[in-house]
This record gives sequence, structure tokens and C-alpha cells, in this order.
Amino acid sequence: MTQRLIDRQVVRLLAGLLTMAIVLGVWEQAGRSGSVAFLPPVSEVAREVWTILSGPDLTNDVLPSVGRALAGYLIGGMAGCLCGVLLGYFRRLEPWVRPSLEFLRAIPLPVLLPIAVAAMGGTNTMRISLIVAGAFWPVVLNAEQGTRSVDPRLIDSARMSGASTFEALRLVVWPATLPFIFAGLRTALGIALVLMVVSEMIASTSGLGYLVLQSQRLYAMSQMFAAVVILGLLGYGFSLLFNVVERRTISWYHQQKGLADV
Amino acid sequence: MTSTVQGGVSASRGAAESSRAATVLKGAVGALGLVLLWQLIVESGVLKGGLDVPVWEIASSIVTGFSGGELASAFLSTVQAWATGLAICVLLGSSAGIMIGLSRWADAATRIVVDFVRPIPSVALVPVVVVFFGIGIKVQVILVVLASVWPVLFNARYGVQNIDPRWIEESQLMGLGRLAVIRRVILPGALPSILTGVRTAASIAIIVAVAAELIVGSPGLGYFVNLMQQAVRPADAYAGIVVAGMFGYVVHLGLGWLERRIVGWQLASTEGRL
Repeated sequence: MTQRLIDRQVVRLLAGLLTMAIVLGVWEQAGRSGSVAFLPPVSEVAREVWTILSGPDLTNDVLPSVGRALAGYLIGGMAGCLCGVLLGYFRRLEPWVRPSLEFLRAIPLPVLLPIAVAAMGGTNTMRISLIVAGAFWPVVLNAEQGTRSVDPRLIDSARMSGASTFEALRLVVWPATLPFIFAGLRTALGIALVLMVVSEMIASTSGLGYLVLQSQRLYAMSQMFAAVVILGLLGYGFSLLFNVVERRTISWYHQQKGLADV
Repeated sequence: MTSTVQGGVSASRGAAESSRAATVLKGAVGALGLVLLWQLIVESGVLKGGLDVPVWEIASSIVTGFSGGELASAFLSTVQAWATGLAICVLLGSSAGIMIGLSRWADAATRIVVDFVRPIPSVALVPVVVVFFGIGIKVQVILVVLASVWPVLFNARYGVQNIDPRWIEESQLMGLGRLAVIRRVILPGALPSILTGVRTAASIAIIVAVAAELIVGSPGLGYFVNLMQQAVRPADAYAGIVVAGMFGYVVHLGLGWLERRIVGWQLASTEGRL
């Protein structure tokens, strides 16, 4: 029975790899024959990825991008946790601030870029601030929702057993809110990367976003595709890392829901 | 929450309405606070370089922008790209998601490719799309599709895979054909999940449309704000930002309303049976 299960999984994996191979093969063929204008063969793109990752572009473009994304994401995420938990804890605040917060969150952040450049110039501070704002909103709203979902009687009984407000927040509210916060942080990760790229495309001289746009302007097609591939790898790597951290932090939650093996 | 709605008899309707009025009033007071906060920031002189635009100037810029047409046409361009892209996303994403959800083979075959394509930050594809498709509104539409199709697809797949298999078997036993099963059992069963995906897709779509306009310089709110900023008309730039936020807010409220109506109907119907 288990043997059959494993066999089936292997066959499915092979099916997935086969599709991937077909896609790459068609791409390679189309690139070589030149039937699609400007499309470089995938082998050339792969070589270019290696050139970027082993050359000076690594420190000029790749690492600055990673640094900005991480800095903005961590600051925005932490601020979001803090504000969200407080907002959820003081429930009576919610109807007063909800519409304003929803409006602020609904502003598509790239539209702020021209103003941000005018206010702060084309600096790292400007780019990181934008990423902070992007990572902040999904976390705030989830943390708030999670905090409000805690049964108030649990908080009351903690308070009656002599816990201070801070202790009630840390011991009762915080663990219950974590799964919600992680859901928000997951959304925030994608948004942070998008804002990293957009902010590097405007008033910039470094970063992967800059590299993509600059290669397009110079018609360096394989470099443009290589930068896109690296961005995809970066996104993939970040989400793998995120999964590891999430699993370690809230493993009890997944066990409770019977999701431990998923 | 649903239980209080269900338990709401006509006698308590008056109380519910007055508490809703109180919520709206509190929200309005909060919004007024936000406006005052902005004015306070302007007065404090933190913002420099002509960025300190008073509230009333932004408000009058919105009014003149909509009557004069410049802001209105930028707004309409963004909405057009957004709506077209989102409509394609809904059709493409839900049909592909349902297919993948129904067939383990389709799921297995596409999984690796999807895992590689999905983590690419959508905005990175702006230059790529420009190379292959030139410029114009189609660039925004294509980018919206590339970015927003995923949440719809994944939620549709999830929705289909979570339908109780007994429902499908029973409806097959009752003699429904494959298409009828999809239309009568699977589609309604996956609908709430698909709607959640559409809601996420809608807000991503606005971000991507505006970013593409800004980078490529094709007409829309993103380009409008950039243009106004460069023309040293900051009040108009802020007007564009506020309009973009309002649009996002209205979309959020509208889709929330739609979701509650449809999911609420489903909750009520299943509750009756259990």
C-alpha cells in the first residue's frame, strides 16, 4: 500500500518535471530559431544568471535589493504586530479608526513614489520606508483581527489571577494572535518584494529592479530575463525561509489543526 | 456573528439600525481626525519642498480635476485596465483552478511550473511585457492578469478540493453528467473560496496597474501623479493619490458586500440542513 503510494508520488513528480522540461524546451527552441523577436534562448539566460551571481553585479544589485527588502519587511512587520495587537486589545477604538485605516491601506503604494522621491530623494531611506508601509498594513489588520478573536473571558481570568495588562497581552493574547500574524506576514512578504522592485525602478542606480529596467532600455535581453529569474529565485527563497520560521514558531497550532504533515 | 444576524427579529431591528448609525458616525469622526492630522503635519512644517499642501487645496484639486477632465480621464484609464484585467483573471483563474482541483494529474503536471513562475514579483515583468507588447493599455491589462490570476486560481483549487466528495458521488448517482456536476455542485461549492481570491486579486490588480503606469508612462493615475509632481503641482499629485485610495476602498467595500451576500446565503442554506 505504502509502496504504491510512493510510486504514485514519483509518477506525479515526473509529470511535473516533464511539463517543466517541455516549457523550457519550447522556450529554448523559440529563442534559438528567432521566431519570437527579442526572446533569448533559456540556456543563454541561465549563463547570464550565473554571470550576475558570480560577478560584481552581486554586490551592486542583488545584495542591496535583499538588504532593502529585509530591512523594510522586518521593520514594517514588527510595527504592524505592535499596532495591530494594541488596536485589537482596546476594542472600543475600532469603530473610530476602522474606515480611516481601510482608506490608508487601500492607497496603492506605488502611487506614492513620486512624492516619496520629492520628499526623501532617491535614497535607501525612501525605498525602505515604502517597503515598511507595504509590509505594515496586512500585518496590522491580521494582528487586530487575531487579537479581537481572543475570548475576553480568558483575558479577564488572567487579570483576576493577578496578571498585569502587559502580562495578559504577552501570555494570553500574543500566542493566540500568532497564527493570524503569520498569515499577515505571508501576504506582506509578496508586497514587500513588489515594492522593492518598483522603488528600484524609479530614481535609482542599483538593485535588481534597476537591473531589469536598465537591461530593457539597453535591449540586453538575456540580462533582463536573468534578473527576472533571480527575482523569482529570491521570492522562492524568502518564502522557503518564511515556511521554516513559521513552522518552528507556531508548530503547536498546525498540530492542533492536524496540519503537521502538510 | 451570523447567529446574531439570524436571531435578529423585527423588534431588534431598530436597535441594530441605530447602532449601525453610531458606527458610521464614529467612522466619520475618525476620518475627520485623519484630515486634521494631515493639516497638523502641514502646519508643523515637517514637509518641505512644496509638499505641504493644505487639505482644502487638495479637495479643490479633486473637484477641478474631475470637472476639468485631466484627473477624471487618468482615473478612468486605471479603472479600465483594472476591470479588464480582473475580469480575465476571474475567468482564467477560476476555470484553471477548478480544472486543477478536479484532476490530480493536471495538478501534478502544472505544480512545478507554477511554483517557479509564481514567486516572481509581478512588477519585475513590466519591462518584459513592454518589450513584447509595446505600450498602451494592454501592458497594464497583461500585467494585472500575470499578477492577479494566482490568488483566484489557488482559491478555486482549494475550494474544489474541499468539497465533500460524497456530494459529487451522490449527484453522479442521481444521474447528473460531468458538466452538470461542475455547474450545480462544484461551482457553487467553490464560490465562497473563489470570491476570497477575487478580493485579494482586486487589490493586487490596483497596485500593479498603477505601478505599470508609473514605470512605463502610460495614461492612468500612476502616471498622472508622477506628471503632476514633475510639473510642480503637488496639490494635483495628492488629489490623484486620494482618488486612488478612495477607489481601492470602494472596491474593498463592494467586494466585501458581495462576499457576505453570497457566503451568507450559503451559510444559511447549510445551517438549515445540519
